Amino acid sequence: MEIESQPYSQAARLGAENLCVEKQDRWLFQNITFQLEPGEMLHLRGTNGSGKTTLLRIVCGLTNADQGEINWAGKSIKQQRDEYHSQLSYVGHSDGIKQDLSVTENLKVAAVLARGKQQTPKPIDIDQTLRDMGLNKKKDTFAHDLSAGQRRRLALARCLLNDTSIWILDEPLTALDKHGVEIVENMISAHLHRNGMAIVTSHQELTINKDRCKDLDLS
Amino acid sequence: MNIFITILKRDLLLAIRHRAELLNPMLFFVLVIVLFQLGMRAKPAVLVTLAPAIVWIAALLSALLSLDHMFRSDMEDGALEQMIISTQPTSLLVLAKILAHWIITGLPVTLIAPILGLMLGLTGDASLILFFTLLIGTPILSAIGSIGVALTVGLRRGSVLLSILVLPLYVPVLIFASQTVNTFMAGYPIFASLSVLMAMLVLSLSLSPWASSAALRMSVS
Amino acid sequence: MYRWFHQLGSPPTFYKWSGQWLPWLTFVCITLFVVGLYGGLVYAPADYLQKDSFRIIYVHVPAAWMSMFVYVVMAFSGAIALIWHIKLSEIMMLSSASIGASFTFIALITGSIWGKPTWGTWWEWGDARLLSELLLLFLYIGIIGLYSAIEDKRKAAEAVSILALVGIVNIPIIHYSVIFLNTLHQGPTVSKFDSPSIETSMLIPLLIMALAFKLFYIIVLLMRSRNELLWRERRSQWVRNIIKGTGNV
Repeated sequence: MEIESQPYSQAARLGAENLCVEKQDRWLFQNITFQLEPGEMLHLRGTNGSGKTTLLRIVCGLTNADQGEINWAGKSIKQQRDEYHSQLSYVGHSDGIKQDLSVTENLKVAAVLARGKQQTPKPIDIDQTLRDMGLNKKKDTFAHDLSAGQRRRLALARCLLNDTSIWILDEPLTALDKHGVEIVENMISAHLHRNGMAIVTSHQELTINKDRCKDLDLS
Repeated sequence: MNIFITILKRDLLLAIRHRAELLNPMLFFVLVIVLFQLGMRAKPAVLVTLAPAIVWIAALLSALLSLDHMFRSDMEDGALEQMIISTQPTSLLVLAKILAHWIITGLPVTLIAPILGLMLGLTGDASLILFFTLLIGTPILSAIGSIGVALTVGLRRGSVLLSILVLPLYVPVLIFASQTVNTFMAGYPIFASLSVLMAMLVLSLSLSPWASSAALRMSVS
Repeated sequence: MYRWFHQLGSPPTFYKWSGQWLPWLTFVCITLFVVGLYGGLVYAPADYLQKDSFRIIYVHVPAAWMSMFVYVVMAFSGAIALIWHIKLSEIMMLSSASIGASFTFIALITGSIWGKPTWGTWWEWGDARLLSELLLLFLYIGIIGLYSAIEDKRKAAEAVSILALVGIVNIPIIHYSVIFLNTLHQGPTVSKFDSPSIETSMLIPLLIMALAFKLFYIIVLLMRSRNELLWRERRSQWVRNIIKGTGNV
């Protein structure tokens, strides 16, 4: 694994305050509060339908909570959308991969979306990322020809390529084989080591340094 | 600007990789016009006066039919979420998608319209004017349509609702465009109505991306 | 001023305040309706050309005015709801939609009935104002349809606000494009106050009716909003107090 090992320059504390979400006349969850320091990971647990995905989407700023707020670097994320989003990668249930684009084309679009005015990624960055994710032989394959596990890895490759300090991952280990799980675990460990932060939902246990891992159970 | 070109290229690439679907809006357009004439069996003299309206209604319907593609697949595979949490202004992304939609659906229709105009008995000059109204008018259809799609893309069965939302907003384009051709055929100057069409184009291209991106945020949330 | 506005925007205050005003408004509205209808149907002289059939304007014209007015109110409260997230203006907008649609429908029906003796047809495609009323009805229907199609009602309210704003930009364009198409209707008869082309004895009942319609709208709007408000806030303390009958809101 040759992931860059410089710490993130813009890592800052991420927290949620008293989040409440109502769904069809009942509380999906109430008063969720957590604090995440740079270098820490939050493992989100809960049964199906306990609101894990909703919580992740709120942290991303995609959905609004009925009450409560997400704070980053001491301010509400609503007041600093662009700065916050430039530090954020989200891999959701639907992974945002275009089936009819090749692996490289998918990553290029993702990189332009994330980086904005900065330069587009050099081809070498993309090659490096693909090697890290074990996809280097699939560079020019169409995404619809990838296996489910490979597609998952391609989605996760966005986090590496965009070099963001906050990773929001919804079930990153689904469809991955043993080798794939290992790659992802290493990737998250290295990310935390660089002072990155991650919020992850997963039914499986992650073998990641326990000191850096916080647990939150929604059910 | 980088992002605008990237999204435009992406959408065009995706369209080209579905070559079969690429022809559909145009085929539909031709088919509607043929059906009109088969249903009416109008005499040539009558047909000429109806031709601009027929062509324009067919263009309207074919735009409407293809609108749903603008955001639907991006919604389903999560690409839309990625666009909204990107650092880029959503309205710029929407504008790129509007332009892509027009190139894929509006432009082919515009290019083939003069031929159909001739088939419906328009003179060469009148066909040319028809072509110009479509050239100015069809991007308006894509722009206004994007608002309707953005509002309904989160719904499972939004297509009927989409047409109810969008068609009334298409009325001014239909009126001014077909009247332009009719005015020309009656031998009057058309500068005024063409300018109104242009104004509508500018207005819709500058305002609808804002409305659409607000609507997309709503649909994705 | 802002504070007053803000206080009024709080649900319990609004509920209490509107409850106090409703009986008075209803009384004034009924009085105006009685006076206006008497003036229009009995007191005003018959038209020279149209005879008694012109009297339908005492319903048609106020309804047509209101159909536009309600849409403007809707777009305004939609904008307020979008920008400041004031729950009350969201509710006002949603409650207005079906009232506005009804006014539009009444204007269309009465316009069509009026058309029969005047033009000899039930529907005159050449009439620009009737056509824009029809398109306005479709805009209203679109708004109601969109609201009922989106399950999450907070999202639905946001969607409707956006649509109402898009509509308000388009209404003048639609209106003038229809006018451009043709003008067969008699020109505006009332709005030019400097030289009114309508007899004063005909005009005054019309204005009274217009006022009555406006009050009617406000009353129905308040009633619907109160209803909706209770439903939305059904779990809060002040609504529970009302239901329990302690009444202290």
